[in-house]
Amino acid sequence: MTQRLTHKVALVTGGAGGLGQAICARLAAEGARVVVADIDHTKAQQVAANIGSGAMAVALDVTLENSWRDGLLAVTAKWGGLDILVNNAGYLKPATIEDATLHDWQTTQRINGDGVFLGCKFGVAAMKAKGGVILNLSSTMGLRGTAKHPAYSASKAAVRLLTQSVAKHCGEQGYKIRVVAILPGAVETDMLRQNIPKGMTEEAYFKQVRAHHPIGRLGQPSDIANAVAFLASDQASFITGSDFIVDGGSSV
Amino acid sequence: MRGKVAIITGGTAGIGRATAELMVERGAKVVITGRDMARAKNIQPMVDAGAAIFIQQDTTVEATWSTVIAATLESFGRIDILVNNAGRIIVKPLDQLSHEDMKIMVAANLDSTFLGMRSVWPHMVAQGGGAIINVSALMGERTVGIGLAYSAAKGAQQALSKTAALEGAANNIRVNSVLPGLIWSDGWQRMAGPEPDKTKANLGPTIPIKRVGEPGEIARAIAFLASDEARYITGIELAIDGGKSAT
Repeated sequence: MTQRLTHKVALVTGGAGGLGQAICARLAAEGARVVVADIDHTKAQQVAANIGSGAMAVALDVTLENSWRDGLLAVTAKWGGLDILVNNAGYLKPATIEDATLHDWQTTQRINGDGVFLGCKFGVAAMKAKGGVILNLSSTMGLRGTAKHPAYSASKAAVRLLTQSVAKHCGEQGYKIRVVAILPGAVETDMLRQNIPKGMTEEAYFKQVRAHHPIGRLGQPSDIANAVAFLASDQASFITGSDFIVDGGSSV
Repeated sequence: MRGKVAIITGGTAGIGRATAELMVERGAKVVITGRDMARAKNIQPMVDAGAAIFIQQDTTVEATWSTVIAATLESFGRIDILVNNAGRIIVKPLDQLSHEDMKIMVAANLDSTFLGMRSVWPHMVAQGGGAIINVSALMGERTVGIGLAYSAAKGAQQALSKTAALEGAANNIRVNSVLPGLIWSDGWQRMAGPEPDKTKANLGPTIPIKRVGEPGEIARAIAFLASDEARYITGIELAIDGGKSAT
């Protein structure tokens, strides 16, 4: 396949995580220069090194304004600007409304909510002059609440509507920035493994989750990376403000 | 898309034609159907190149489907993709909408999709999978106060798509809907009055992205959903509308 993102600069938050790594590798394969942004700088450097000279690592805590400012300065200094932002960093701790503490709730909203808010804010500022694409990782849990994940579901619903608001604002202002929410179902990553209930084996848990996916398998990071590559490219030139679901039919 | 075979209904103009051209460009073979024989000249270059065949079809008539399936298998040997793109729109207020109008909307937008899916289904099952893309409309999800028969039929078409997605999953048949917003298709151009460019310019500001879409922009999303890149995507309704559904 021809490369769709040559000369583009893409930043991926949570770029050193399971999903983030796959997205970074895929964007690089499409010809983009990739910024692996992660709170774990060492791991981000490893991921960037694996990709090669077309990648750089930045330390980024998505919940801190200063961290965004510094991270984007480093990107601009090296590559002159930003064209694609993937707000992928996220936090999941399963806990029902009875078990979740206020701290659990606030941590979830801070990383999933504040993190994407700041990403959009800094992303729009960085891209408004010449245009770009912002992709926000929401979740099918942001469509329907689950008993075990009230904080996560609420935070991911917030991401969807934030996406719509930012998409509309960019339209109103005449910025050539598209903003799309990507809604994965259960993807086989470390985050999903952290979700395994106590006393249950990974195999039993995955089997249970698989049963909710009509397509008969869990999502793979590459499934989501495929969607990111498409939406980040000009192939998706009329798609903005939309929910883009990649979930093997689980939310039907 | 080399080696893939696609059937595209309503494929001689607008979104259908753009989809056919894109898939051919990417190496697929396409079977293009349309009601109007005269419009087949639009796709003649693809036919001449050996990448496409044209079959005259009224998608609402069950018997035409066996002809389409037989011709597809005879020419290209398999069926990987079905794009149910043919559709019609009637916009009248309720008190002027006849029962006949309602039946036309259901036949053209719902029956045709049902017949198309049912016709390719056994072949896709036997082949080990396939991808179906049903072209619906934003109006199937968001009513806009006009075109109620069209909205209702498109809404039903989306429900049909999602149920088929669930049924098809076990057989690796993916079914997705695309929901185009305001696309500058041949249909719109015909309705655009004496100064189409002016109409187009006036419609732009009603859309968040500040312009109407082009058929190729829907075609590219259809091609993505039809491809193996989208192998984990089924049962979705993808708005391709420049942000309109977010308003």
